[in-house]
Amino acid sequence: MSLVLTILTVSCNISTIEDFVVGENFIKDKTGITMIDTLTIQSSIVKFDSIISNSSGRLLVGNNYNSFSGYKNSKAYMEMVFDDDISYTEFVFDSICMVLNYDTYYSGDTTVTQTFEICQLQEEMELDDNSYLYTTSRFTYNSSPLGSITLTPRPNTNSTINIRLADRFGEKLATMIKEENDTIEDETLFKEFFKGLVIQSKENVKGSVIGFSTADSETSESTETETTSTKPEIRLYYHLTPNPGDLSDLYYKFSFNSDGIYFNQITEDNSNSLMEGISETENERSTKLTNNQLFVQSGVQVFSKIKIPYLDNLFWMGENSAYIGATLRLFPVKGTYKTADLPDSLYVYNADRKNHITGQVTAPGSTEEYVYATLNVNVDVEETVYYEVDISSYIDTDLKESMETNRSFIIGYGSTAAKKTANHIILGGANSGKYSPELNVYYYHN
Amino acid sequence: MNFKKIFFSLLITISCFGLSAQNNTSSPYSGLGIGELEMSSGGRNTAMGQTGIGLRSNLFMNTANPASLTAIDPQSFLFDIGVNFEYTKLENKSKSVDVTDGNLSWLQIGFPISKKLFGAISINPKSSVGYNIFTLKSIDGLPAQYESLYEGTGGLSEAAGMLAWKLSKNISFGAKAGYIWGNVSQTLEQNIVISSTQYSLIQEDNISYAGSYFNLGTQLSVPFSSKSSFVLGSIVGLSSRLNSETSTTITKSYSSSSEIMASDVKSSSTAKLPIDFGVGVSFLYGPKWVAAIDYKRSNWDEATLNISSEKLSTNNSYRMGFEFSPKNDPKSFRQTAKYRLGYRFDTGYIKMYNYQIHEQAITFGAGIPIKRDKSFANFSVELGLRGTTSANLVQEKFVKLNCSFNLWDRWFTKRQID
Repeated sequence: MSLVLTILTVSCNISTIEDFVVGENFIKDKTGITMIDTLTIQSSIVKFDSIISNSSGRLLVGNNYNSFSGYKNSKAYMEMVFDDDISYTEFVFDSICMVLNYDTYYSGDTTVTQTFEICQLQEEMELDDNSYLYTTSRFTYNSSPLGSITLTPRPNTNSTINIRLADRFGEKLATMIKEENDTIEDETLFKEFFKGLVIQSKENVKGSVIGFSTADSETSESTETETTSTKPEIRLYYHLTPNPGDLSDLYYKFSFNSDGIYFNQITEDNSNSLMEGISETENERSTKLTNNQLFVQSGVQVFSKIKIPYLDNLFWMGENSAYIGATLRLFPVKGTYKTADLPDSLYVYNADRKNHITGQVTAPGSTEEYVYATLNVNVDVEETVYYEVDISSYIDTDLKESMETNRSFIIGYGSTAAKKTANHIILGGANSGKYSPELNVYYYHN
Repeated sequence: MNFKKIFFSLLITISCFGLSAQNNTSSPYSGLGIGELEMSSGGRNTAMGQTGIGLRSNLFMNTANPASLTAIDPQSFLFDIGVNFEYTKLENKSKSVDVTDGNLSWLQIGFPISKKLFGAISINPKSSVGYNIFTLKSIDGLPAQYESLYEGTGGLSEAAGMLAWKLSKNISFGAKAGYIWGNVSQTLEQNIVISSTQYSLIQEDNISYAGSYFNLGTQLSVPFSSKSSFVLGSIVGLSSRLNSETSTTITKSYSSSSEIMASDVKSSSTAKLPIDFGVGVSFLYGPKWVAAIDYKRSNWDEATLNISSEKLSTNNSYRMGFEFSPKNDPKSFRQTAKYRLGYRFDTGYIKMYNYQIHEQAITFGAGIPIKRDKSFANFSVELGLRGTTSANLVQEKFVKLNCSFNLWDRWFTKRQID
């Protein structure tokens, strides 16, 4: 009996059986997890012309080009206000110029020389009923510029660019200051006088789209916060006569109105590109017509659309099978990108049969958490770059609907990036060989 | 008095079966086929290397060959109940783990019906399932592995009725008809991470089995000299069917939600259990010595089960045993202690990676008389090995203790006063 007790005591010391790994052969033959990667994928691109672009947090000016969508051109519209401390002194007008600060953003070829022009608006800007302006919004402006500059942009330097404006414009302002004109004291009157301006660049140049700051930058060193004026401003330079204090470099300042209306107007010239002929009504194009390439773009927004038409086939997995999850990988086409320039993630939206966005694709088991196509860079023998997105919940929803699917999902830049950048990525579309999208569907079977 | 004893014993038995939720095995091999086959033909047989086909005794129950029932004394009956405890060390190439199990081994009652006709009933585990397996599996074409956890419990029981006919003093025939039933529950869990979400797929199978079998046995006693004799025995088991119904539920759990993918999906199948055939011989030398040898063959390779036939193979069993009763005096009615020794080797019915899962054990034990009648307490120890650590398989070293009470008593005795 004591022997029996000894044995029973031993049973209390059973080490964890989970640590005891045995071969696969021990268990029922057929159960397990399988992955299928042979489901048909249909890919296409969808162009969304107008994106909300007011108060984008960045002014975009310039031109760039890519072979897929052609030329993009961005103009920045804005309003200016006079500074509060404009008070009359005896002065002599010297010159007037506009100062812009690079915010380091650019997209395209910065070695190409471009001409930026500053034109005066002829009508006051107004928001629509929803308080929006779009990349397609238009306001008339005087086509003969107040000033212009031809330069090769250097967006990575923290420098400024100065654009000399017409003296007659400066003189007019100087006179108003001297006269202590109400226009210089009353905001509404000033706006009537100076409705705003557009910074544009000459079109169809294979250059770059440059970002300019819309806010002053703050640098804090230990306890002190120093504000540097980096938003756009117009400086009216003058000198004093007589000049007892020997003061120099004096100017009156008219600043970019951060609280006012500003937006980026971004247009695209698709001629001679893969997207030639795409229109507002026919805004989708199969990758069969685009060299099997997919495309995502911001500024003028283009999405990559993925449709999995025969998902129902998954039902033929058989009884006692269960769908688990699925991932999709999209591969940027080598030679069309610099890895460092690729965004870390792209947005993924559900779309209906009319390509209307019906919301972001959610994370599995969640209604509030969303999935993104995240950039993966594997450096093995060769660098492999791809975007991977968990489309488990998308497929789950589809499988639960018995009807034939009209749904799809589209991948592209989020709305924030869309209105303040002009980037693009060329990805492999369906049947593009090694760049073809990879759809991996996992299911359990027994 | 006798009935009270029987009633009491039955009560213990039933409560033991109630406890049979207790695992009877922890062998990873028990997940295959119908589980680990139990050997439960009696306490004496167990200590003698599981021999029994050629053994006859008026003192000990032996259900290995129904023809042996004709050895029961007239107007007496035998009642045998056994329990076992098993300690196993599971080892593979890199690790080992200790497990213990225990359960009822058998309950059997043998009795005479008439001078030439004898009967018996028995109830015992037929096979046991008790495994807890952790393995890493991979998906074709992908580098990542995923975890699989497999758990199974349960087993099959059998209840049998036997009938034996004593044709002549030395020739006996027996037949055994049995019913097999039982439940096995399996939980198969697979864990996989897809794009940072962890999924758990849990399949729960509840399998209930029911089937029957029939086998025949014969024994022939050959007196050798005044002191010694042979017993030749043979058995043949006819193929039997085992029907099973499985109820499957599959649950998918991920990021705090859980979904039932399949609920109580029923499926049924019929398994064909093998034909078996065995011969045995025992040699009795004087009142003190008994030696026995058995050979049994079960054609599992022709059985159909829910595993691929490549994993099934013919089970050949070779068994030998000795019994020594040093103080036995045939002139005295007083029983004395019996000492037993045996060895058995089973080639096993499971084959994995071309390795048949052999099992071998040395056995020893003793039968100690209790009270003053012909009842015994039997103890035995089996020291055994099952499997191999080759080819990623598992070797099990086990110590199995068996304790049984073989009770002898009078049977419906009319008081014969005159």
